[in-house]
Amino acid sequence: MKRIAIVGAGPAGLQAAIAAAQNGVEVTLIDGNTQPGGQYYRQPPANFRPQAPSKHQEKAAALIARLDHDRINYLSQTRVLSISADGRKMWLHRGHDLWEFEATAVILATGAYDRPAAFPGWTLPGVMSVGAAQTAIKGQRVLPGKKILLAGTGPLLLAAGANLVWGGAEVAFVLEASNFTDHITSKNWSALWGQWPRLREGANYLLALRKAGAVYRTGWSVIKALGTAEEGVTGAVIAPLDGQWQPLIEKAEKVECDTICIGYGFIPETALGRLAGAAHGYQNELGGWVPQRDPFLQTSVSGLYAVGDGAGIGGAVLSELEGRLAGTAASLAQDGEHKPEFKRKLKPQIKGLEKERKFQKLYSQLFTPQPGMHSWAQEDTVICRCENVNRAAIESAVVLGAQTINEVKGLTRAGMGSCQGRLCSHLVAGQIARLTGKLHADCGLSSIRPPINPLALADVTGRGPTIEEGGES
Amino acid sequence: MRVQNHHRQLPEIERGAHFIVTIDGRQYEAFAGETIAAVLMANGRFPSQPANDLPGLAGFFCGIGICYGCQVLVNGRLQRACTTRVEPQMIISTQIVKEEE
Repeated sequence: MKRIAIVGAGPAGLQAAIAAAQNGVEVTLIDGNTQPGGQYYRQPPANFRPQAPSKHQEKAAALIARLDHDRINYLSQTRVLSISADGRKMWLHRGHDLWEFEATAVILATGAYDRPAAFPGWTLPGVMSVGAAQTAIKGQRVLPGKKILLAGTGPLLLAAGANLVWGGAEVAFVLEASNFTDHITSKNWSALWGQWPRLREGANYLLALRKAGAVYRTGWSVIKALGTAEEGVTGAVIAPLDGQWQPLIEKAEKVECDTICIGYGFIPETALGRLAGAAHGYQNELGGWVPQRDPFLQTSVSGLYAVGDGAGIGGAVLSELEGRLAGTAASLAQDGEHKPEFKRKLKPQIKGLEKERKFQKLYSQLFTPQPGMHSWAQEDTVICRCENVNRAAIESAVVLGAQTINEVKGLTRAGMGSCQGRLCSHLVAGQIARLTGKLHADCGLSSIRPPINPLALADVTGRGPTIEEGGES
Repeated sequence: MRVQNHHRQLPEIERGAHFIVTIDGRQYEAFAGETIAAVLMANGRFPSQPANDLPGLAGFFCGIGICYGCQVLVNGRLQRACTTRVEPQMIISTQIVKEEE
């Protein structure tokens, strides 16, 4: 019996699981969160009873209800810590338990996270990712602050801003770094055709923000957070940016706020695919390093598929289409081969992806981060939060001859902490590129080793948990 | 601050059972389903952590379990505040300091 493991229960993973189960294979859906849905279909906790669910929540609930299937085994709160080089064997962790899991094929649907920018003060309490604010307001119904400034690039800024307003916060500023309307040209505008629901959604968010008195600017960003470690954020310095996102300091303004939410696009989560040895390439328009895939979304490792934002930023609609395609393809494949008759069967699905990819391409042209964002950090600005490595330390490493993320890591420990470089790899590469003139793509990728997420030694040794108890033994 | 007003785009919810948790020696009201980070945000914000030699405690940032900056001690065990849900009687510490050797 074929057993397909799917990592991640967001839009892509949910669709992959449903498609694979429909095609008669056993599915194990592994997800780190308490509830399925990922970020896009995030559900309020089961203990919170919504009085009148929104359309989006109803859609999410309907999709999630389809996991209730004889052939789908859903594992919540379970992290994948490692994967074998053939991509079939994984090490899973839940609670205090660590175990090995084998599948005939694995579909990675690991999603993405906000790309941060490093600027003075970004480690102060009160500076957080846009995703953190979205999760707080939509998932937990708490406000991350009272007077909020959002900065970054992409439509999520508007969505998060509107949700914060609806939740009762004051949104002082929404600063979109990209002058995105400048990037709409006679060549790419047609991709907007037929995207009315999306455009309407964006317009609704903008309207809600305007009505609430939020100032919306394009071509601007926060470049400094003001405040102290004790008090947290008390304000921000904001500035207009040129086309390369270099701030025009002479036009900077000081503004008041208690919370700063930042998100300069998204970074695909690729740790597992890289660990399995799948070939990756740098594609700025897809969010950076992404796995190379065949038309069936299989990586260079036979039987290992990658779908959704974790394989290249494209949004929820594309993620769901990809999930369905890979779920079907992995079920039909025999010994990792896709027979010609399956190719015919899957052709309509592959074609369905094309229109969505066209929109994905336009989206990335409008909201691609520019290298000038790496000039916002000052000498003493922290670049690697986990290991407390600042810009000056990275510059010293580059002066000593470091040319890649890995070489900087070896000299400074940047990227060796709890997040394993997820937050800082892009920032370190940005600094190397700024100092050497190299392309971001030529700064390399940090090597990845298991466990890909922190793990308590007690769980490995099975010696039970706590730090206090550890002292007694 | 917990969301009080209700907008049709952000439907009203009814919170379930509530109980007391202890964070840094202070008692907080918490509702079942809330994360530790949410309880802190409901009462102000995630505090700054003391400068120390322990890596990975850069403070709350990503909010979705990626960065591990918000790790706190929950009954003596390191957990991410943003993904760990509160339970009755939890003893939580955000101020983790390296013990003198």
